[in-house]
Amino acid sequence: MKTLIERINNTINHLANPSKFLKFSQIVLPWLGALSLIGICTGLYWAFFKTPPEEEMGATAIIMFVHVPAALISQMGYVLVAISSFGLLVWRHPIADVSAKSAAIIGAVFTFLCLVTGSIWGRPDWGTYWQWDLRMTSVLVLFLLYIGLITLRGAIDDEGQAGKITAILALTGVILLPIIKWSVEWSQFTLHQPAGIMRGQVSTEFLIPLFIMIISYAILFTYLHMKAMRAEIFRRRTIAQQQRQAHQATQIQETN
Amino acid sequence: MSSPFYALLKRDILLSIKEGGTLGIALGFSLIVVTLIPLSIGPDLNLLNQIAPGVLWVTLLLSLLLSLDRVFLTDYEEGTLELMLHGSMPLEWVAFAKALAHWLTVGVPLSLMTPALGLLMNLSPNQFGILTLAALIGTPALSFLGALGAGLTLGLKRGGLLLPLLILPFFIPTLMFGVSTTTGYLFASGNYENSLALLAAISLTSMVLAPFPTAWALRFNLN
Amino acid sequence: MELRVKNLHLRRGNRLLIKDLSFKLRPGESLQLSGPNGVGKTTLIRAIAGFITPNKGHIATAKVTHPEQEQSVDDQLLHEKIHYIGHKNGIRTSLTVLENLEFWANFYTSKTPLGKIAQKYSLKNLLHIPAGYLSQGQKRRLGLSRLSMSKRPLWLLDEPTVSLDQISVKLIVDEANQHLQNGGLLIAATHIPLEIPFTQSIKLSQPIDQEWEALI
Repeated sequence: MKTLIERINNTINHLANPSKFLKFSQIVLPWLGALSLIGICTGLYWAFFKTPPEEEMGATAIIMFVHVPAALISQMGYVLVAISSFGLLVWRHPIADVSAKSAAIIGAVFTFLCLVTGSIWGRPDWGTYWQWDLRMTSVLVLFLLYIGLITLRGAIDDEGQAGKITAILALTGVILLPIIKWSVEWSQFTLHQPAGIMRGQVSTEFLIPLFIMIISYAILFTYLHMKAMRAEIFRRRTIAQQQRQAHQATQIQETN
Repeated sequence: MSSPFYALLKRDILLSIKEGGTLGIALGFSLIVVTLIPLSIGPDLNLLNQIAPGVLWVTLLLSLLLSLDRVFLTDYEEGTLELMLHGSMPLEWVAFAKALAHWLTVGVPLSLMTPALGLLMNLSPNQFGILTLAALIGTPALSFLGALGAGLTLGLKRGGLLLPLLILPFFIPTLMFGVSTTTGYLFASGNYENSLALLAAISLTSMVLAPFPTAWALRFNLN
Repeated sequence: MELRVKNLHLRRGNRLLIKDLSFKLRPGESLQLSGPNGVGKTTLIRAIAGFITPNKGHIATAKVTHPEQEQSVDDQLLHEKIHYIGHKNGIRTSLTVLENLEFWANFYTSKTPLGKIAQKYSLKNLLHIPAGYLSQGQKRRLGLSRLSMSKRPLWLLDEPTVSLDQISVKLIVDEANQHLQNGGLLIAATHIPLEIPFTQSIKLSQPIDQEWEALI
């Protein structure tokens, strides 16, 4: 048991080293990309051709395979932002900051995808594209929080400062999101739709492709996250290099 | 708390009287927002009465928001905030005192103003009591969470514009329970005591917890 | 109190400003920081004041009676031991001089009579004037008056004589010397030679180009 913890610790320390992370991700990335592509294709093929047409929801039920994984990943994305933020504030490691930044942007994209597919899926059911039910409302709030994180970071010039201050907002959001969700649920404004759109209605034929889609989405998220982290690391190194060049140029001018 | 706390509280209240401005803007803003509602949806008195709780609470949120970016800004610019780090009082208490002062100088007057706005929304005078009470109980959460937002956006050139985007989602619980208290009482459609208790719970929790991340944000911004 | 700075590294953005700096300051000792603008004098002083966290190394204090005991210091531990005089005066322009004085006195829980402080910093005739109307020198004096409000072992002065007239400079120098004689510690960043018998001096120089590096 202890060795396992040590090994996990070692792995984390290993990946926390930016250069090692870059090497590791370079090897892993193509595999992740291929895996998620194959997974999504398999899942969609299965969903379209191997499942019996859903009687109650009709053809739009297919959208469930795009929507439900997006909903899960949008929440997982926020968890990753929160963990990375915590890591940044506690260990002050810049790679945690890079991770939080990348996860926030990708998480926001998945949340947006969830909102769009959700409203398309809801159209035949609700008779309207937007229904203020609990799930949609809390996803919308999550989306707003993502937007807040991204804009706050964008507004602060100093990279290090931006990371730390955004981390505080992210962690505050962790505490407040459940309270917001609960307050919406509690107050009478919801139309008391039974919580599970899918619960009890999903037959086993649906579960297998759904499961494949969820796993593939998770791999896709990891792929995009790593890719974005690499880009961010390179971006920061480039900026430092440019600053160094500018500095050298002024020094040469002064000596002349 | 010790006397530095009172010194700071007293100073901030004195400042709000001397510098004025923010409260006047908040009060004027809430008046204009409520004026726009009947103008835009038409003077249907029944409809106005029905949507009154929601409109009044949204107005309260928005007008309180207007004055939030000032909470730490002047002290930050004039160098007072960084010196407060070296006081005998932890920065968490500084954050608490300043948020409390904001509630006393903006939250309370705005709450007391709600009956006048309720009048415009066709509420009858016997409903004013609950309206003001709910506002008084709910606004501390807004001041304390808002102070957190002010702390986060302190160093920004256009922090005032970003603040609403960051902090309005955090106001949702107060809005929900505030509206359901008022609606529950006005239209007897629900139990308003429970909503009121939850409204108070949200305020107390915010008062206890929000100063910690606020102080953190302030420390990072002093860097 | 003794101040120990060990292997201190400080960065601003991608630039390493202070590299591997170590020094020790004993009671009654003073340190002068000099060097051109932008080399990190202010950064160093603000790090000791607890505003900036070091990237490497540490800032610690030790009680003189137990020289081997060392307390690691962050803002929490050091915050009540410091007087920091920075570029900003920390006065509220809409309050009168007296209101400013009263606030800081209460905030520091100072016992020193305000009349005495006002006398010393020649603010006596200005007490009921809003601080915003004061001249630069008068504002600076009002800011400096905090030095007399509470006794603190470590003074950090960042360009303390900026916009001060001769009399005020003399006032500051006298105060600082008094502080040192009482066993206080002093660190000052200054261009202008001050009549303070500095026991140590650090000249910070322009960092070399290798020191621009991304944190990651």
